Amino acid sequence: MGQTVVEVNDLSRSFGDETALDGVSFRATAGQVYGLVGANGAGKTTLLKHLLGLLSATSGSVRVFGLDPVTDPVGVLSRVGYLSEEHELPEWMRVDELMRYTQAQRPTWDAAYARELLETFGLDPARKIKELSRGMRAQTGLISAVAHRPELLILDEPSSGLDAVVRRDILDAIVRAVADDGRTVIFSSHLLDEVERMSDHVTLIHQGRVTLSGVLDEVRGAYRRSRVRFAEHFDKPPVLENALLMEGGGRTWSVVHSGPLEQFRQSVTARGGEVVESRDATLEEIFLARAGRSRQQQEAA
Amino acid sequence: MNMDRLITLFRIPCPTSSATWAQVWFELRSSGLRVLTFGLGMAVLIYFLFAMGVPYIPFRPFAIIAVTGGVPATVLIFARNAFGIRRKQKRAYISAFEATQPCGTAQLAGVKLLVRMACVLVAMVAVGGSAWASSSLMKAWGPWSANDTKNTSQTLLQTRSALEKDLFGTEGYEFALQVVNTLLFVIIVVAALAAFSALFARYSRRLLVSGSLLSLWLLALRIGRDFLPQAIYSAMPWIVVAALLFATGYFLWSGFKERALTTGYVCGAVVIAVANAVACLPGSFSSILGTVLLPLLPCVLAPWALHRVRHT
Amino acid sequence: MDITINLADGVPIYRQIVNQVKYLVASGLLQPGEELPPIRMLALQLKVTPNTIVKAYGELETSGAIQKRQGSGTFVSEGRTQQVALRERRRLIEQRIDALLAEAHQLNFTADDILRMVRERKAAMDETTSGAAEEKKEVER
Repeated sequence: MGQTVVEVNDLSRSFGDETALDGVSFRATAGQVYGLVGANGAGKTTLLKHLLGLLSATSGSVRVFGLDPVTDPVGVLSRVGYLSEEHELPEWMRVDELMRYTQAQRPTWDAAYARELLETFGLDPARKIKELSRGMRAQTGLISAVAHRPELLILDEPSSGLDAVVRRDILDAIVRAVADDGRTVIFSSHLLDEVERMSDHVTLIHQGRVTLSGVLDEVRGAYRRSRVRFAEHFDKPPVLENALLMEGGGRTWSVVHSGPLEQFRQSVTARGGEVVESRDATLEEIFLARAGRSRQQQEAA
Repeated sequence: MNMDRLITLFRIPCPTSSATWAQVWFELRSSGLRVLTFGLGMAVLIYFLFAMGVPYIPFRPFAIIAVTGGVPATVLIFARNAFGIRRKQKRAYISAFEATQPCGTAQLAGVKLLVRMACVLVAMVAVGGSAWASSSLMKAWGPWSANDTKNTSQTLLQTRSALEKDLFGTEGYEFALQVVNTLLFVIIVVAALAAFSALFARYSRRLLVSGSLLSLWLLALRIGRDFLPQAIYSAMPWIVVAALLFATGYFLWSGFKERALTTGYVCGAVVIAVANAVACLPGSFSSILGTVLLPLLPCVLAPWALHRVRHT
Repeated sequence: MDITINLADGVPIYRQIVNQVKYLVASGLLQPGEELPPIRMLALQLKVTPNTIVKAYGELETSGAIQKRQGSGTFVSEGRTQQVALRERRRLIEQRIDALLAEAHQLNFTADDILRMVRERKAAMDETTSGAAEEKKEVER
């Protein structure tokens, strides 16, 4: 417990002219759940592909279990389970054939667990993967990713486009991986409520750079959402210290800001207003403030 | 013809005891059986055409085309892309499913190449055997038309027996040598095509540029035959061998450095290379070196290229 | 164990769990000595990471509300529950009062206004309950 499972140092990656990752550093320790959030194209999938060796690090280093996934694919991949949004499972295979094939490739395969999951999901083992719906493919891919009890589970947007039932199955698998075996989970998602529930650590990637990374509760604690009421009427949001996002109009504004409450309160009072209420910001509010477009940014532009 | 139903006939469950045998099963099911079934289909088609040619003359030219085109087609079409590289839009890649299996690149390349070679060989034997057996039906063909003075069937039969002597020889050991040569030929072609498709997937621009340069160089040599010094032309085999040697050395070093090659794999490749050289004896020193390097380079290049595609 | 997680609150999840468990103990819905669900089960039920449950249970244990018995599981503490209950109940009501005061201030009411209105509302509520009780007696006759 507490050992480093993944270590990414100053990773940069470009595809032609586009920079996908710019000096990204990331660390994962055993037994924790890591949530990666970011807009589409922010670089989450690129980072995860580096962990699997699908992409080779041209600048910076990537180590999983202390090994380089490019020079030692066996050492890394035998202890990793992977499920991606695209579910690139061979179309011609049947579900039971996929189970048998994965079992042969992974000595740690738990046949009882696999069978239990097949039954719970209600999958017909004799059906070909190309005949399965998107949700069932995700379930099949999930079984082959978790049934060998990997030390590290990597999920790339696993829930996208799936109904609530399948999403619940995926979340359950994450919980069981961590609770039962003390395994590590790294998952990327744009469903922020999922990330907020399931992550111990959250990392926000915006345009290839890590803008936020830390223990979820601490990250949330660093940002607050406060309601302020001003004596005068404002057409455009007034400039306040540490304010990242302002919504509302006239005299009452809702502000997402960083920094301690006292500092913000002083800044508000200086502008002739008062803080009516204040609470920790939710992950969605932080995400929108850091990675989205805000009126304040647009005004500044 | 529903391919799926045909393949269902060969449904063997995936072996779970060994990862390597599971990989062999995977390769057979994903591409190998297709090669075998088409080979079988072609063999049946050839026999059908020759048999129909006995009563119906219009079938005869098709029968000849099928034989003369069938065997080379089997090798080229079925031997290509043993690594299963797909193209989607502008990208060429191997599927993430295969790339994330806990299997070393050299072993993956080795299994893919060997399974494909075996399937191509079996398909070749089926097609070749059918061609040889069916073409004997030409004896029953008779004249092709009312004014068939040239006696086309007779000419064809003579060509057939001449080919027979060439391919199978008169002695037993000549036949054995031909078998070994065919084996080596298939191995080299499969490895070379696989390496090429992998290289093209990753370095298409560089390949096209170097390919164009090479063609220009060869063209220059051909045109300058009359006024360029003879020394260049006599040195050419040495230059080629030196280039092959340098390339092989480089890819061996790079392959080991990146762990794309393993000693086991390279030993296998060396055995094939030496066998090829022995089969091509006797010859000059440069030609022997050439016959060793010619299979060695594609065999070493194939996993190196696969490694580059797998880890982009 | 009837616990719900609300993400829009802004309150950290582990804190919500701690608060709700304390409330359940305070209101008597969780009896002293009763077993709490194991970490894995509660995590699956709430769809949260097990480490959050670990954190919540850890804090509850430190505050004395629950006890982990070696090998058998986690149980509500006995004896000390009374103290915890009173403290918890006070804290809950104080939270409500704070929110009420903030809202009142925003609507321009003073604390005295609020106290007066509380007494008025209580009187009105007593009237309806006694009125309802009389009606009930009427019906029974």
